[in-house]
Amino acid sequence: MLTEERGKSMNKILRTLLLITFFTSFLFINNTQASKKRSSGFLSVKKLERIIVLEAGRKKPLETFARNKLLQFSGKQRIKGFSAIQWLSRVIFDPASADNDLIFLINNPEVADALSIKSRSKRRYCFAELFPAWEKIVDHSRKAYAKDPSNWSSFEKEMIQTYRNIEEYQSLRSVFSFLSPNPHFTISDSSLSARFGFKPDYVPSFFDLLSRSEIIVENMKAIQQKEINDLSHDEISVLRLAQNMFELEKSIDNPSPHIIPVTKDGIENWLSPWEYLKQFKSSSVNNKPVLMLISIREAYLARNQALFDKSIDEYQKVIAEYVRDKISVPEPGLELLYNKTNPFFWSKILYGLAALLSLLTAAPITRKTFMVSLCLIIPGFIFHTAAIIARMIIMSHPPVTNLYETFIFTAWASVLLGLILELMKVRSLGVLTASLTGFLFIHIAGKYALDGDTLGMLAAILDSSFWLTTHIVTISLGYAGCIGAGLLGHVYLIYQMTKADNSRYEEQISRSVYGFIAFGFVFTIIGTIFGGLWADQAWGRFWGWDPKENGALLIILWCLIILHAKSGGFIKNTGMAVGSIITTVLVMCAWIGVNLLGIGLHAYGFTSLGAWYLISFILFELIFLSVTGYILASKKNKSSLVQKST
Amino acid sequence: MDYIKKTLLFLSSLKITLICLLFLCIFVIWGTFYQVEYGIHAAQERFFSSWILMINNFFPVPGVKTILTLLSINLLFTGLRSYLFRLEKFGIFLMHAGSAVLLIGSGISSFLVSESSLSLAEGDQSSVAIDFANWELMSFVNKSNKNTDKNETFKTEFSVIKPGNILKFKNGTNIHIKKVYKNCDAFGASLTDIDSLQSKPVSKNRLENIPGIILSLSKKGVSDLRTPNISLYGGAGMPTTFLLGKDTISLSIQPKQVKLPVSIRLVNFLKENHPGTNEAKSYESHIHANGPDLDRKIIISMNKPFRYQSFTFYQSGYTQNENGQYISSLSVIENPARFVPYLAGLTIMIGLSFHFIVKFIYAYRRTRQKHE
Repeated sequence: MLTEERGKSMNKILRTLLLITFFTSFLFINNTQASKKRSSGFLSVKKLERIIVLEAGRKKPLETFARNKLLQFSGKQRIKGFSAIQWLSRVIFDPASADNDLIFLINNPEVADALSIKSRSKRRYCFAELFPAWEKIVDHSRKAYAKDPSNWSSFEKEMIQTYRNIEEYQSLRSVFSFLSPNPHFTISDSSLSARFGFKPDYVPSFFDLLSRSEIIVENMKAIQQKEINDLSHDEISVLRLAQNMFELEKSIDNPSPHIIPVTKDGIENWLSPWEYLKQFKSSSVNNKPVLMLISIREAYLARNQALFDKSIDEYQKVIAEYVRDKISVPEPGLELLYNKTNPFFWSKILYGLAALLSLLTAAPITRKTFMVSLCLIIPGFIFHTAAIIARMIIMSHPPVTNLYETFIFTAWASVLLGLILELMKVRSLGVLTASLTGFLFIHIAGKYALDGDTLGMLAAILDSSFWLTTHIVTISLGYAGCIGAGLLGHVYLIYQMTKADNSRYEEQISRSVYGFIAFGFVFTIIGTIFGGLWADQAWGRFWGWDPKENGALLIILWCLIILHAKSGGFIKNTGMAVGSIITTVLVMCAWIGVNLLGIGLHAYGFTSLGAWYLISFILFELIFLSVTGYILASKKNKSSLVQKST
Repeated sequence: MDYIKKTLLFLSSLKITLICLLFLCIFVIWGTFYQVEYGIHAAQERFFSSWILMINNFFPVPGVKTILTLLSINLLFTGLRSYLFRLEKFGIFLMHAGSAVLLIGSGISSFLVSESSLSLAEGDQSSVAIDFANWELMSFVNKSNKNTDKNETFKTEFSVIKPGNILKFKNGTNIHIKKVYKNCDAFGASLTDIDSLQSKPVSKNRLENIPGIILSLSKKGVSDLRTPNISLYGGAGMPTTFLLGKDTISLSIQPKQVKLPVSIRLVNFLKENHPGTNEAKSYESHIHANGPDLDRKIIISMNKPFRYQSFTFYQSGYTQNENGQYISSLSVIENPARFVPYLAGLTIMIGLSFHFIVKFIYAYRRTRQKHE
């Protein structure tokens, strides 16, 4: 009988899983199709995605570069109608066509007022409207830079961000600016123009002149042997051209993306097309990579798909030949898959739906809701796990190396703990813990991703896979345990407030709270000991009372207080639930709070986002505990009055 | 007998454990916030390394050291009382024992640890490290009669020098300490010819404090041989020289010098950047160490220190001088008890593993019994 029931449940789970997988796949395919539809009328830039560039010390596909830039400018990874790589192609190959894209996110309306721009409700502005205010932006930013960054107002921070974004956008626009006709190179004399092979009234580009540099060099040799007063009109024109070329060259400083790999004296370097031209001048053999890039651009502008794809293939071939045995270039396939599938987004959606279902039906949830929730969490967890593994493979690092990854990994560990709790037959509590923590932490991580590339390079001190694995991973597991305990603590108190007496279920929740606290304590203490040993290896002391160390110590001390007080009978289940909620507050303080102090060896820098989240969270918990305390006390008073009267 | 039992019970009481833990929580939070305002050294002095903590300079409460000592005693007695001979509790006993070792070991270490630094350019060699957080008064007497007298050198730790102290040389020269400044500014014709010192508030960053002393010199047995007040300033960078009778006396306040058991020569310094950036991916010092039983090339890099006797040399950073030459900064820590955290950590982890294995076995047995 029991086996038959189990079989029925399994069938139900499998059916729901299939349904959810189908639904997710439909959404995913629909999304991709929509992207293709929107891009009709433009070339497919699929092949462009695979070109490797160097940015912030890491070699990455151009697609990742495009995503990071768009995320930095607009806070989004795609804009209306275009994917990041489609947007970047337009900016690089055909800048004028992208200047009206609303990509510059300016949250503070005072910035728009100061720049005399009509403020937009969606807070995103285009280059075409911001560039005329460039002088004002520079002026405001200069004033802000004169101050200590810690004293910048929100207006000044936003203005400086705008200044940096526009500067970087201009840098992207100028990738092929050596091909743009430049009035400074106009040759008024028709005979001289003919010598260069230009038609009369033709406005040459830097590249036109560089391709004919032998004419300039020849003239310059003659000029050098003459006095300035003896120079002919033609020679003065050539001298002016050479000076203008020199001035323009000087003003360009290796604008990103750094796309062409070179080696000089055994040192690897990645250059922009501009920088490449500056370093290798006119040699047509050496210019091959730039010529190939120019043909890609021409094919793009001519909307010639076949030529575009062929030019990219040839460029890739030239680069592969060029770097062979000298520079290692990563295979972009996995990273592109990771970018395109956006697995954390799907995990967040699935966890979110599961959390919503669990919360709406309230604990203990019905069997049907429970099963649907579980079937939402499992594919979410598979995406989540796959994404973490993909990141580890791409970076050849352990799973946690920065603040963003601590949220992602702690979310993963929390979901895993929730699922284990469910396996231990603790009715629906695991589902609630897993879905809620998974959703919340991936959501918070997403906010930290706005800071730039989340697959960043490691600082020298962190470049130790052993200690990163042992210390940070265990500490993150400890955080997950403590937060799980806190969440269950909330469930316990809410259950006590709202439900009639159900001591068995209450006891079950309470045992889970105890288990999670013990788990959190064990991993936090192991992680802290590993951290101390790492500190001893790196800095020469096991313990230095650094704020981050103090944060971990505080969690350990508090968990010890709860565990000892419970085992000694000083607190009961309610006390432990309250204690577990305070543990969560302490974990968040140790995790995010100490960074806000701006001191110590572990400080990753102040983030106003972190401060906002932390303050809101602490306030929420304070209100929750006060309200719960009041209601539970009233309930107790009432029941004691009833008892007295009877 | 009953009295001993009661004392034992009291010392191993869970109430004491909880009170100690609660106090520690409060001081850890308070001390962390205090760091923001006054720096880590001040926080350590006031909170984490103190026996007694004065609240508002008036109300004394036990400091972290006192609480940790009490907690260690509590842990030891708890272990002796209840856990020692019970297999299912042996893991917990090990955890408590490990924690006690950690606490006691850390307490001992805090008295024994010294920290200094060694900055070397390529080709430089040194067997002396500098402790920039502590200062010393360096006194050198160059004797007049070269045939009979010997030169004398005194090094006195600045922290022990108090107004009214008299530092005595063997030949009868005395240094009379008049005033001591923990942090001050100097005024005068030059840094070695100072007219006056003006006290400044002590900075939260100990490395920013520059001390000064006002003193006078006299010679025992020669009543009229006494100098007027002399001002010495830590920022002078070189000794100030005085004539006392026929003796020449050089005095200076300098960062404390730590004699190393080995001589270190920086052979070369290698730094690798992440490509296309100025951000260091790794850096390492290739040194040649020369000591009584050591003569070889050693590489010190991040997370890979060099240990010799009770000293450990860490790659802490680097700078570049005006010629672009790299100067490697090594941290030098002397800690005879550095093995303690490793021992304690290992004990705690064995305890945890033992505890959970025993728990697992018991749970497995219970499940089997239920099925049977």
